[in-house]
Amino acid sequence: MTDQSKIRNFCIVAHIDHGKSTLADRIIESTGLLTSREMQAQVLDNMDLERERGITIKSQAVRNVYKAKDGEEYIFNLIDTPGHVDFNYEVSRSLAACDGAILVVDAAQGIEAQTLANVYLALDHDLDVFPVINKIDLPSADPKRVIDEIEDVIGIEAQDAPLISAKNGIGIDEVLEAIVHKIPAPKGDVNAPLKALIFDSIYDSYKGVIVFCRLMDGRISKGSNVLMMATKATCEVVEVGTFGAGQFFPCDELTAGMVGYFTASIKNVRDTAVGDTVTEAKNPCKEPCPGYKKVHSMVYCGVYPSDGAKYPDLRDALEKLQLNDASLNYEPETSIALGFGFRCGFLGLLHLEIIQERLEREYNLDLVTTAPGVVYHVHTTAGEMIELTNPSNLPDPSLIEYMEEPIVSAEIMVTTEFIGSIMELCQERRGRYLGMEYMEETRALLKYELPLNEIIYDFFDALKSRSKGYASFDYDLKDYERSELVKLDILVNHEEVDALSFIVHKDTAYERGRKMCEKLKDEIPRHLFEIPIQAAVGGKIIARETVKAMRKDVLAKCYGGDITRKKKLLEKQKEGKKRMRQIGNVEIPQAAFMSVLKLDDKK
Amino acid sequence: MEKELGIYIHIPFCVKKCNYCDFNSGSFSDEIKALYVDALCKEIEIKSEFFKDYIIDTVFIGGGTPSILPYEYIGRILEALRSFYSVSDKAEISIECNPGTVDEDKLINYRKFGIDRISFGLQSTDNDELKILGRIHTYEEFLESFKLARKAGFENINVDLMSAIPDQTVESFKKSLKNVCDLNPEHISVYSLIIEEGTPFYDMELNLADEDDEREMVHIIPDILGDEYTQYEISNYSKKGYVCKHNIKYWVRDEYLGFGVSAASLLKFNDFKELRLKNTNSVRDYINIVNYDSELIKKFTDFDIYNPFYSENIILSEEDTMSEYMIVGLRMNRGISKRDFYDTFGKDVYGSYGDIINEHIKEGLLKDEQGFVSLTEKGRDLANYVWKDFI
Repeated sequence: MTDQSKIRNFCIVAHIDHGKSTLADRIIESTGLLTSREMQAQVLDNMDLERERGITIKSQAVRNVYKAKDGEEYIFNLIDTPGHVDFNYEVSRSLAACDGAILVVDAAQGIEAQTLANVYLALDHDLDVFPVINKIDLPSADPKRVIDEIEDVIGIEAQDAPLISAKNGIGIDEVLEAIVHKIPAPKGDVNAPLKALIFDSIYDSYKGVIVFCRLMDGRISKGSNVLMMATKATCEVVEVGTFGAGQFFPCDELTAGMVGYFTASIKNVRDTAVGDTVTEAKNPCKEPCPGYKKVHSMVYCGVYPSDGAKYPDLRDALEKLQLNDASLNYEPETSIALGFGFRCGFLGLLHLEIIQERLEREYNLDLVTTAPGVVYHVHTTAGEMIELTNPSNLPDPSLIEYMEEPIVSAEIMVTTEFIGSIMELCQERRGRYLGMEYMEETRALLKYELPLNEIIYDFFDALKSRSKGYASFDYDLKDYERSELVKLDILVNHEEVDALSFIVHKDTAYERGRKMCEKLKDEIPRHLFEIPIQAAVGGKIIARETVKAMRKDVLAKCYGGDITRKKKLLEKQKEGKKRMRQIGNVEIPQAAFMSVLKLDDKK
Repeated sequence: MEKELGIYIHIPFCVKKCNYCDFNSGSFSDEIKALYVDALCKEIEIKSEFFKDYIIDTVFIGGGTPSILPYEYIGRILEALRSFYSVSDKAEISIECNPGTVDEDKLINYRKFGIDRISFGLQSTDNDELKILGRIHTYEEFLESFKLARKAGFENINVDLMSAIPDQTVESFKKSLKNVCDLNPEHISVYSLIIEEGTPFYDMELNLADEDDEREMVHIIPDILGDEYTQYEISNYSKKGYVCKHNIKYWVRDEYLGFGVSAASLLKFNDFKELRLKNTNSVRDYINIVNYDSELIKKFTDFDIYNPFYSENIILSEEDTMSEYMIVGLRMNRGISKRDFYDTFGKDVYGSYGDIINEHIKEGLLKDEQGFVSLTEKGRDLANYVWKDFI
């Protein structure tokens, strides 16, 4: 049994790019679990994708052994948390598995919207938070200002915050000692019934589901019969252990205060929902760990294979991804334009993009996705409420009493020079202004309520481009509100393209319709005939563009030496045609379906 | 019966490369030129053992700029050809010339070597346009060269023109065409400029004609040329009896044999369906292999070895052959003969391509008249759109 007083369970919270992963690497390095040679550039982020985006998606944990200045060995369980608002719930469960948190703040950038959101989340979970000022070796570093800012804005003591450079290994010892002294030791009851919080789980083809958990009370070992309190799944534990960097170290048992994993031939991650409580089947604990929520998909879109024959491959790939990602939902659907595919539900737009990229990269699929939408509540005249995830399923307007859309409360941190343009953006997106707080002279926190469907398209991009990259953004689902919504249809050569329909507020329908027509005009290649592209609401045309008829497409020269090369050109042309979707007698390239997702034209 | 064979000889030398040119050509030292011509003569000799039962009825000396070579070199090449192959007395022998690179002496000697057709690369009669193209000559120099050629006795002359030159207007194009027409050449080729990757034009900001003007230039050609000239291919016009017999071979897929760098061959040997060869693109490799490793040249049917002499040596499947037959055949105004298709492949063209032909007939791009399937006028504007379906 491990002495709880020698355990420190903690996480690192930070804004993207403030150095969370780098600090994690340094901690792992300094505690000697790995030699420098074994260190990958960033040990915690093991998916390529995460590394490229500079963010961490799936939470993981690492167990390190640190020999402190007092001569004792401490076990550090560093629990990594996702850094994006799409994964807020997952973050909150990771935090609940910790007893304290290190707040990393960039010495030049100071506090960002995300920093605040994560710190508040940590404080909400009663974690002891101590700040670290990173990147102090940057020429623009201003640690004094940042320390004051932390004290003023967050209200935690920061005068003795370690001043470090994770990248260059400055001040890391100080951080390690601070972990020992400032993060409280766990105080579980080893003799109480088992009570463990699930903060992540992954699927492994040999071991089945591997459940990541933090033991609050009791113990767990091979042969324990356990119960997941929310999903009611029961199973017999096959293996328990702790985490190395990217490795599993089996051990005899896990006891109160420890962080580790167990396997139990569980086939589906849905049985081991994040936030659920594991207890003994025969002697359950009285109360589960607080805070469990069933996650709901916030954003939906249609995902289709660009080659119709790849439909079974797409289904298999989604099945496999879902084994590891309980928050991914999908069900089959068909589109006149795109054929057989799936309507998929995601936590947010980033989650959507990540899944899409993984499907393309790891499963080698070429995909077409439709415009993402949110879940609308459609109240019919018959008194029913339909949760609408696919615009094509919208009932006839005469059968609709009213519709509701999801609203989020959003916080945007922005330097003062861009307040005007960001407020303008929020206004365009039907935002409701709630207030503004100055963080310091040059930065402010804007508070808005925004319809979710206005921020899932290209809000991040627009925010970034209109603030020259300085604005940061965080949001939380608030509730559903009644709204004047209409279905916008796109007609190509007088035929409706179902995959391009979407739900939009009636006041923005014209603007969006016009922009979509303009985009499509650029994307649809010339045909032998003129092609009208129209946007329509309820059968009424509100915008039109025309693709002119093709006038010239001919290779002027072809003699003996040219034939092979010219044939290749024609082959390419034919390939391009294959990748198009036939709507009536018009061929629409797949890029057209994607291009309409990014419509913001103000830079 | 002896089989007929066309010969192509590539001279990759130019005074200076033009801004639009993506052919294998460039400026080389006189020493290299001499070595290259030696190598050409050797290649001609080495390959001859395979072509004993052929009679050569067309020769085309192209480039580059063949006319920048001393005329003696051209004489040696044709002499080599005649000593190792049976060249018909009536063979059409063409040479490409750049205005400004020929003089009376050269032209008279060309005639003596049996060359009976000259192709002048003029491109435009507007000196500003010539400058933009990076041509080395003026219109006036061309006039002089043309006059000398007539004087030397050439009765079959082609003039190359270009449409859609940067900054060119429909009017200035018309003027070029009229000027050329007034000289009364037997043959005129008009190529619509294509900006190819890797050429200087590709990286330049150019004022190019829009699609409407570009097509107008092409569409007005028959009116300006009048009844004396007939279009027989996408870019080629001739007086009666003056089509280029050599180039026709490319479009009806008769056999041809190429000598020199990048030169292509299409051969139909008994034990193969069809063989396409293309020589190495490198002048240096070409000269070295011919001189030091000449056995490689004969090994064009040895597909197991890496053969640096050929940048391409492939057997065409029947499918390839048929698809090429349609694509290149449809370049010609007369189109493809349904009977010839049957004689060549033993099946009906509609059996193989019926759906495609019918669809394009419906679109007004193809027509089927008097035993020939051919592109309509609109079809010639949009030929790629039709051709790609035969791939």
